[in-house]
Amino acid sequence: MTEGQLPGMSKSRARMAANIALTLVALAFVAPMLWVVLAAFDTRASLSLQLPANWSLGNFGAILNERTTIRPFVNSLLIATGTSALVVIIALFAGYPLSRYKLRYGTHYIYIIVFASALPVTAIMVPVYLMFIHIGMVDSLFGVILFRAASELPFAVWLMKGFMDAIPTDLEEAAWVEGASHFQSALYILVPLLAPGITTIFILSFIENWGNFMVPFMLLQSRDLYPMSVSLYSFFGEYGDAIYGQLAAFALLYTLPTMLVYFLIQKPLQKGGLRLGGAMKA
Amino acid sequence: MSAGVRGAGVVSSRLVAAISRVLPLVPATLMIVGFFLVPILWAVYASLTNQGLTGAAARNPVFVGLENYIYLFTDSRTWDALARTAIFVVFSVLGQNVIGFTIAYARQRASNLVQSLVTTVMIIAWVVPEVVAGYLWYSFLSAESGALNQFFGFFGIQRQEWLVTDPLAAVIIINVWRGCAFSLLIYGAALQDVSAEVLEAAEIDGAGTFRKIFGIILPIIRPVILINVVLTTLATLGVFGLIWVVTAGGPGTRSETLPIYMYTQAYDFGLIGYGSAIAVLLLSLGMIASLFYVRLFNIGDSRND
Amino acid sequence: MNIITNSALTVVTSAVLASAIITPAQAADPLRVVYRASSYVTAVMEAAEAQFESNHPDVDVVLEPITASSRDYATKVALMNQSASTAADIIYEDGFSVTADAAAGYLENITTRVESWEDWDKFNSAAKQNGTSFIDGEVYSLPLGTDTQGIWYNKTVFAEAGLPTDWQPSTWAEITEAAKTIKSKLPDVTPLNIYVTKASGEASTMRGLLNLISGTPGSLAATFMDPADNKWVIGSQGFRDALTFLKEVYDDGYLVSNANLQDPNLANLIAEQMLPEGSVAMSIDGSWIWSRWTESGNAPWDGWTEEVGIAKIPTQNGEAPGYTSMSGGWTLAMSTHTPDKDLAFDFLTTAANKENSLTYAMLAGAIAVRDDLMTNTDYLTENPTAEFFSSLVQYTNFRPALEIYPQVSSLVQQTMEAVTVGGESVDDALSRYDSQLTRMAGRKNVKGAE
Repeated sequence: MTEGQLPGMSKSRARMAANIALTLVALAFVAPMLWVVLAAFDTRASLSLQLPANWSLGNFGAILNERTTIRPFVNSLLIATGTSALVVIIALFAGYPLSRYKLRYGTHYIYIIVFASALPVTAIMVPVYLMFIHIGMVDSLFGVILFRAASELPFAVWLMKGFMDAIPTDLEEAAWVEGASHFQSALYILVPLLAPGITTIFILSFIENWGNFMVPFMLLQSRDLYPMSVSLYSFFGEYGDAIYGQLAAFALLYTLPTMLVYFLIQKPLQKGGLRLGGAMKA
Repeated sequence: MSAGVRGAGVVSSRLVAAISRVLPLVPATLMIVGFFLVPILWAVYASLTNQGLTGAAARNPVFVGLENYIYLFTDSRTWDALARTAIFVVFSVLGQNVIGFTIAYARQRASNLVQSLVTTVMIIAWVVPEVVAGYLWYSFLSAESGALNQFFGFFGIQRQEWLVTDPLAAVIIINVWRGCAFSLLIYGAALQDVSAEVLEAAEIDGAGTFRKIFGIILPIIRPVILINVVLTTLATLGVFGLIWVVTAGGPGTRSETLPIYMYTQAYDFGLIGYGSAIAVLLLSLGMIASLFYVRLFNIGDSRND
Repeated sequence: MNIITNSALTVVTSAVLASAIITPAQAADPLRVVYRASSYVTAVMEAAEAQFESNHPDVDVVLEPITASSRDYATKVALMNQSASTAADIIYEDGFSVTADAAAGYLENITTRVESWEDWDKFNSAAKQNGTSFIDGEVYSLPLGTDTQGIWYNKTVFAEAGLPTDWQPSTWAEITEAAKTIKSKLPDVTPLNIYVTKASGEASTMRGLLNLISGTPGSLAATFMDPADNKWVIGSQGFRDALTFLKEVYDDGYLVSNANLQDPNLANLIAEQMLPEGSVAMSIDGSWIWSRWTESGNAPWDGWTEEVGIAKIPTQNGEAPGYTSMSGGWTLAMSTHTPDKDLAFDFLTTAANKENSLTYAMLAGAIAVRDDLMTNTDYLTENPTAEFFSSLVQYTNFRPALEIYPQVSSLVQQTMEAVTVGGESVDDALSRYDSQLTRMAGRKNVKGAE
């Protein structure tokens, strides 16, 4: 109650309290990550949190070979970028009629999309595996990309429609009057305006796919095709206790790209937060 | 006759126009039908058979009617897994939303430096791949030597094996740790849309922080809360990799949620038919949550119109 | 819109169905060999590959080692076997899955082929059982090696604890007693290793539980599966006693840490590190672990023949015949999908020839399954434990090679883990075991203990 009466003083005190509390929160969030950073530079790392006696790049040296790290890295990159690109392109196509035309069953379609985006993909992995065997796409990166794209797609289409809805049609209408086709107006006018939305969808999809474990774990068999997630899991399963330092180094390398992607886009995300298109704003 | 031809021409050009309008939907539709609907139908079918991963039931699966479901619902293990899934979902969602909102709110008062510090740290926790998150926490919570025990040991608190004493609580905490950033971003955006004048007016009227949050902000951002709660619920329902890496459902079955239960039955025990019945159960739960979701979306949609 | 959705559905569905019916043909050329990655299997497979390719210069052998825990390996191979296009031609297979995988139609029946193979007579008949289906009695897989089990102990640690260095317990209680002595005299040493978790996979079932219940009254027939009527047994006293024993040694802190128990790599850790350095005093383990300590092994240990003791596993209260053991072993099979059966069988016999069987026995530490090796002086001098472990054959038991054994084994592991690390009561874990086993096997294939 006194807050209202003494705005100046309480504001600075509130700021102090907020600063302290949030710093503590930040520390709590960071605590579990410390181990991986320290252990990665310690060739004699154990599960305990300890400063390396000798800081060393030895762990990185040991894992930076084609088989352990580089090939899985390339595979992860192929899966994550391939899936995200496919998702963005297909969602652009699908979003357009849903946003720009009054379709007779458009709303129903959206409902089905929203509905599908909510199903736990985990539950259909068994039939998906058997289906993939029959269409000959088990143990293929393309198969993983297709299925990952399909599971990201409903949410992406829905987001994309929201982003498109938020862009007024005036400019496109002017272009139509000038004789441009829908395709042209979409490509040259709408897509550039959609850039922030496209980036959001691409990055959400990239982060999700970079980290995904279950789908490649189940659909891939050859070690040469494993992305980093599966490689890390079997790496740990194979060697167990002995080499925590290398495990940490691998984990660190594996995490870097998503951080990089995040820092590329941190400004808009931190400032504006996440507005999931018009759809989120009920 | 010529009128007929012209009529047909009009109809067909309309048809062409209609088709060209929906043509862009075809790839998305094909993929969703092919990779969602077909597998779902297959899972329903397989759940009515004794299909196995090996043994005679792999070669010649037999139609067994509802037998799998009867076993499923009379087995206490299913109910245990359901209860654990419910606990996992409820506390994960609660934790993520409460912490996400609280920090989004408190952040507005903090200095710029602290603001970006807390946001960055939380987002890093979010983008860390799930297998890495699993190992991070495995080491953090691990037996004698993990960082958490070192920290508590410093204050004289008894060391314990967190992944053994309460594995379910452990995976909930890990899931909250990972998921908070999403809610933070959503609520951060929502809070920016609450007009400053309304809040100032309330302050002049003498409203404290508590009344401002519960009396003004929460009612205004209610639709966002609802959607975020449903989104986080659905995301939590399917969590597999994180639990698999950290506890694999153990010790024993003490952190076995439905997705883990399904995987164990279908692959470890080789009971594809029975595992599919669990998948159908999981899908049904997802569908119930989805229906909520669709209804919420419906509300938003009609308001936009 | 509706039309498009519908026809899209039809297209996709029929594409899926069509390809389900017309299964893609196997590419004829390379011969794919799948096995669980380890240095010794790789050595044998590479040798076989070289010999085979020199006989068949036109055929390319492709080795596909799978890096996975034993549990994940079985799953991966079963998934690969779902179709001709993904199945390997040659499969390295744990003996306990042979019946199930033969019944599933994954493995080719090689009975007539082995009968006309001149070396087949040289395989001992107990080991042949390991590659034979329990259902039809036909041979589906060639045995590569077998094993028996004992209690390995570090004599140095035993001496420090004041225990005899020619230790031989005659009851379970004497094992616990020794563990208790070690715990009190040497608090930093873990007294006992028994595999009790899912992470250790089949080792937990076979070395952990079956080694115990086979030593209770009536042995496996009264506690696990009765071969007289092929029924699984629930509610037996022996099973309950074994779980209680495991729970007690766990609760008393005689086993390795939880983190180690949950480590899928525990078996290697014990053999290569903890037992040699004496941080674990004894381990109920397979006859093969000495192979890690030889010069060419993963963890060479010069004085191991002096510093390691081996005891027979006693029955519960010393019931006759006094001791017990379990036997298993890995085998090599060919897929039903392999296009050229003669060629594939040729690879099998190459991999299991005298030379390669010797390599396998030496590197893997397996008990040789060929009689012509049991008289081989190289083998006998290289493996000083051969005589001891071969002598256990008189006490040994085989796992019930029923079709659902692999599934029951997973269930057993979960039950063991529940009463130890999971802290559950024996009653609760047993009642879940009974109900799950009943569902897996079907009510008519289960019976109560007599």
